[in-house]
Amino acid sequence: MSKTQSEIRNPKSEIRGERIRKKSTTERTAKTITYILLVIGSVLILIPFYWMVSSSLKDPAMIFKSPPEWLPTQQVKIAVDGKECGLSTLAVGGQTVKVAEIIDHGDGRKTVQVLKGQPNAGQTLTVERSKLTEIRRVAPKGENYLEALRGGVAVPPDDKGLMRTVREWKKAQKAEAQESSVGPRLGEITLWQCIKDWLMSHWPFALYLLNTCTITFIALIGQVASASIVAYGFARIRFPLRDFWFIVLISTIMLPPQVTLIPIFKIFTSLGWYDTFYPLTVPAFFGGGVFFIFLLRQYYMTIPIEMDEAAKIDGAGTFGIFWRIILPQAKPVLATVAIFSFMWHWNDFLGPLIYLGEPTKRTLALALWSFQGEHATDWHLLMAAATVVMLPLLILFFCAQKYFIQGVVISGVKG
Amino acid sequence: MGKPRMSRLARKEAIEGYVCILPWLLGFLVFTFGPMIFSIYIAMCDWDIINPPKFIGLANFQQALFDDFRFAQAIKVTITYAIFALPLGLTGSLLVAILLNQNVRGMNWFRTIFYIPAVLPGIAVAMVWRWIFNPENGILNVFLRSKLIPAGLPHFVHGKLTIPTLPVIPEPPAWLATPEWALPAFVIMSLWGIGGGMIIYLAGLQSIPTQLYEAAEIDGASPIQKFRKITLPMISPTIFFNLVMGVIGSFQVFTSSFVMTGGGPAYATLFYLLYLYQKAFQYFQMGYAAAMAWILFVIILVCTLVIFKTSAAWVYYEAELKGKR
Repeated sequence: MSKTQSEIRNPKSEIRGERIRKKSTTERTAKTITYILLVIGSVLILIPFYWMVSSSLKDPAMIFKSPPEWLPTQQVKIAVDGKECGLSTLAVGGQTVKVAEIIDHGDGRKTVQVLKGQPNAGQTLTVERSKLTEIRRVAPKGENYLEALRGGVAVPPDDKGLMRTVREWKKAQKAEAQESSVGPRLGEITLWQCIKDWLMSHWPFALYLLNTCTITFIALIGQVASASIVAYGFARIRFPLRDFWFIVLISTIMLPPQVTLIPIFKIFTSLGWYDTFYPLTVPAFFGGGVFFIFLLRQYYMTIPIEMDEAAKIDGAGTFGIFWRIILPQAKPVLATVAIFSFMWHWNDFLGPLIYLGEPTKRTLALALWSFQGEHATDWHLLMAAATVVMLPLLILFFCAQKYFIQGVVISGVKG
Repeated sequence: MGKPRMSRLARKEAIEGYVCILPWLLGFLVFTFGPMIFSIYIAMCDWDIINPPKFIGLANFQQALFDDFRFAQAIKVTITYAIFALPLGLTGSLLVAILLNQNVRGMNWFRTIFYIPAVLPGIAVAMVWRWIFNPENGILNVFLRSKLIPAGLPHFVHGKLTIPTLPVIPEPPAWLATPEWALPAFVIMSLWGIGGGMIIYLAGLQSIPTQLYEAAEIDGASPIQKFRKITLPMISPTIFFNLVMGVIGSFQVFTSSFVMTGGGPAYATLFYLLYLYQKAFQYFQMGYAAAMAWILFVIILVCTLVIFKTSAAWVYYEAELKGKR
């Protein structure tokens, strides 16, 4: 196969030290094919996202329409005699006219009124629903998200705002043991419990978000802090049996977590930590995950030892070197560790499933699961909830792409 | 500078070293080593976590390996899944990585789009795909039922130019509701996460020195030859890594099967970890579950060893030849 290869000396590329060949047609077609394939692939990947978001914005009735629509639409509404009615078209006497649906009989028939400015205006007819064609407009139903965030309840149980509830609690506190008008139990609970109850009945997903954030951030801090110190020990300090322990560390990466799952469960339940956040956060402080230790150690070892020595000459001790030299240098990897830790704990499902019981303690992952249990066919709500749970990670990914990729690369290529 | 002073310094370093790794060491003993020993003991017991464990020797293992059809099914499901999802996933992500490595414009966008599914919470992904696989209204079956295949010549009907079309697949399967198509549905779903492996391949591809390709071109190599003789060998360590990770990963499938099918229909999607969970937390047979965990450990060990051993034949480590690093 003969290709035209003429070396063109391009001044810009000279500076970079490259030589650019003139692109042949085969190269250009190869590039085009590549591009087409990538676009097709991207579209395929994006379709589930699109489906999720568009389903989340649809009216429940539209979800089950077949064939389904691509864009969420709602029926146009028009006011007739002060009542909001759906707008449709109907074939009357050979002509198609716009009608307002004033009564829905519920048995497949609707009473409609022909609108003004058309032949037979004002006339009311009762027709089969199938004869009507709804006039729809593209209208995403954002209320689905509110409904989902309220735990699938369309209208909140009561109208009390948070502030009013807190005030009532304060009143009940002052009334102490007396039967207060706002409920006898209100005075016995703590402020936090009062807030939690209100959140649980009005905006449960806000509570779940709070839980997830708490667990994730505590665990994140634990992992970053302990992994960075342990890795420092392995990387920079000479102590007896260091290599032995390091081999032990590496081999635990191979251990499937299922092996230790049950005994660890027993340990935590014996400690009385069932249905608390402790089993999900405390282990993070003890080594922070072998993988992160390994990653950090490899990175520390690329920091020139001269910097350590310079600090030592200036009088820094081992921990001084760690704090002043190693840590600042390791910021990129630490960021990667933080991000992966965040991702892992935010997405964790089995952990909360095993260790959490009370509804108020649920994390977002667990909440989605029970949401599905309660609303198995309310797909619009399910998709709205799923979107909400995915959103923080999407945002995080877009902002910190570099660190995600970097982390995966280091672990995969050098692992 | 006598000996005593040296050992004092060494001792100080030793203390500091152990202080540093103390969090991990404690964690290892309490959360890894201790539980491992405990778990071996439990695996040989009958234990429902309320009553004290009752020693029964190897009965759990015996029952699992020879007497439990659900265990056999769990193994079958997980291995079948691995056999299909792994090669497809590995080749797919490699292909995408190669495509992305071509210096196309907007590479960052494509890379982002492909990688994002791998980052998302498993439960949310499972829910979305459950909806996608919905037999009546899910987008997959709607697409398959839609009439897109041209089946005749264009002609006029009622004054409009139409082409008679046929549906792609007139009666698409009910996916998660059928025993035959539930597992393939999981395989399809796993392909959505192809971006995870793709990133690793990309990094591997980008570390291949371009001089190799240039030298090959000078010698007149075709693109296919370049791929077979340069690209593949140079990324074989990455393939190796992804393969090992993939094998381990297919035994870790839990959330999707738990959320989407609960193991059914007819145990068609009873993944190993799901069955283990059921045994431990639904049937309260912790001993049995522990035994399952150890069997799993052995399986993974064997698989990894096999892959390691055969790797000598097909994995090419440049470092060995050139002795660098």
